[in-house]
Amino acid sequence: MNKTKLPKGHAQRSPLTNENVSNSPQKPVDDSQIAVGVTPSIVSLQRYIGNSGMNALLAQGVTAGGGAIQRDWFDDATSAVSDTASGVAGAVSDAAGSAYDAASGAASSAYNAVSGAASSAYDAASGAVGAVTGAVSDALGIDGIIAQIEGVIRGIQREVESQIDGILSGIREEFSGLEELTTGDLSAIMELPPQIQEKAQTFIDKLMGGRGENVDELQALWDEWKPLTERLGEAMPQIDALKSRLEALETNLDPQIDSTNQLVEGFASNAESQIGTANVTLPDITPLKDMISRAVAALSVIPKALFAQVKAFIAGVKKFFLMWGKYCSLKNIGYPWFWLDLATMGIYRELARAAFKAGYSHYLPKAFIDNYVDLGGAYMMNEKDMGQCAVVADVTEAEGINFRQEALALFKTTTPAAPKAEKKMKFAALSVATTHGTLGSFHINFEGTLTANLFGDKDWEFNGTMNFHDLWDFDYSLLTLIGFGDGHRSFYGELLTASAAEFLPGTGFDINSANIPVTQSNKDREAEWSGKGIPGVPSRLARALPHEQKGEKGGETGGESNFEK
Amino acid sequence: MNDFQRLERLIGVKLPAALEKASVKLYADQPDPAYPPHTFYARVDADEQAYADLVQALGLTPVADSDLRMLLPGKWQTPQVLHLDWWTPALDTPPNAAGKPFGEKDANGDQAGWILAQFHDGYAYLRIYLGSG
Repeated sequence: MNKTKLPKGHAQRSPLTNENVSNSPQKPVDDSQIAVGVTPSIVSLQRYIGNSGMNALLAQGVTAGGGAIQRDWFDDATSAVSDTASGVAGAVSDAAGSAYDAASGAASSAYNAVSGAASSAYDAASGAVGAVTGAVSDALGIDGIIAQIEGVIRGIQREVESQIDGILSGIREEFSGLEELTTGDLSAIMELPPQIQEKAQTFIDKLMGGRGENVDELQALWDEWKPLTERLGEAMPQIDALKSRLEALETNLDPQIDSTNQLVEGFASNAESQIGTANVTLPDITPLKDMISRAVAALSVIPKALFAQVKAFIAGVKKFFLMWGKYCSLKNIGYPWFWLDLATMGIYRELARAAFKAGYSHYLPKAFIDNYVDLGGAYMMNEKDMGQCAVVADVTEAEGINFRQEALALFKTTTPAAPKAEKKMKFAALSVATTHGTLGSFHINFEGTLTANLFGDKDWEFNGTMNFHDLWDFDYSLLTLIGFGDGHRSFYGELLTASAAEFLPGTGFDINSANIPVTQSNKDREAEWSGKGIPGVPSRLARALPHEQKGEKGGETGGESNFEK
Repeated sequence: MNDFQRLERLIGVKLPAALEKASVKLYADQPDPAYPPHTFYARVDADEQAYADLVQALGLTPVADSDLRMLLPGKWQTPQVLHLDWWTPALDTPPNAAGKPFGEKDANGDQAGWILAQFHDGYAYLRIYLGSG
């Protein structure tokens, strides 16, 4: 027997890796997308944590608050540039005109660099918003994600601040040179040629205009990010709770896995041991043995001829199963309850199926046996199947109502003035199927109209529909076997039913049928329907029974009574 | 046990002694041997007096006065799949026809079974339906 062992700690989380993160449907960011101005350290970081992780970190930094990029950083940077430029512009003299041009060019480059760095940071960050949501929803490795987010945000912030500092430092250096040139003669600024003043003003306007555009853009971004920030803020308690639950789960899982492993190992060990020695623990069969003993004792009162047949039948069945016993190697072979062991084998089911089906030549009992063994559930018969059951349908054999009294009462309501009377009726009648192994004793459900006619050719006539219903199972009675039954089945029938109940594995099922037209009058011996008069097919076993032989012949030849003289 | 005795046991009454030597045919309609017979057909050689004694012994009453007549004339026939050469009663319900409810009572207290009898052409015919049981 194969042992099934649960892997210990199988439910532990997988560590966050590039592979895990890259499963995100985010659009990959390659090196070419790293904007100018983002330092190699950021690129390295991105390579380390992957593009999705990078995006996640950026988004987290943007939205998580402390230690992350603030919306004011760009204002601060560009304000410094513009303030410096404004100051310089006012002090530039003709002598410093060329220097101013150079300085303004440097300032313009510096601004572009700052703007590029900010734009790059934004691009990277904006693409990460979706990834953050995905990362949050994926509870696995949430600690690592958050830690890496915070780390990378801090890194980005440092990088951007460093870039800005470097740029401003260069600008300040340039402008400090200008200041040195002009400090001595501030009044000269006023003497700048108009075209220089205009140029300076244009530069300032351009710088401020560009700053304004970027501020607007960042404001728009901020407006987008703010709700995300709020959402993430709202989600954080849930993430924390999820973390706690996962931690608790991990804490609790280990002992459960250990316990399960022990159970599995114990079960497997026990099962192997038992199977190895054929010491499978059987249910307490003492009551069953007692019942069998009583039944055997009761059999002594049965006529010897019949008893001999029953004994031969049981011996035959036992011999059949003993033939297969050598394949079982189980301990109960040779005992009356040997079948308890055989019943544990899959092969037994098919053997039993074949054995019982061999008792019939008609397709319906074979289909019912298959349905029983295969746990097929409710079985629906069509009109052809109904006919093949070979049933005598008879409304006068209704149960629960006295049909003849109902018919007479209705008939008495008729008068010469109103010679016809009708009554809606719905009732069931017991019947016996002549094709053995099909419905046995079962109920026919009738529904229709009973018509009484004072002057008609028929005193009464029923017109309606009927369907068959039966529960196909093997609810045998030991009382009947020992001669104290309710007479529902014959001894032979009870023995057959008991054999099936004990030897044929399966589950009982309901048999229903189509609803088909039916009619019957007081002139009919039985109801008129499509299946009327179809001869039944007896089972192979029933054909071997002496009294059945006489019955069949009595019917076929129309000859003698079916009792021994 | 001969058919006469079986018929006595089936009906549960002692039949007239005059009929003890009579030829009796008895058929149990048992569509499936797994279940008890539900209808018996019996024919007894008899004359009118012997039939009258039989009716009295069985406690039968004229069917014209009972609800049993609602079963007739159809119930004089056997089912289509059952053919008995010797079962040849009159199908037009002779005036001597008699019957009575029979068998165990159902949930409503009615006897679902019944016995129908008639004398025809030198024979007493008995159709005994045991009910749904």
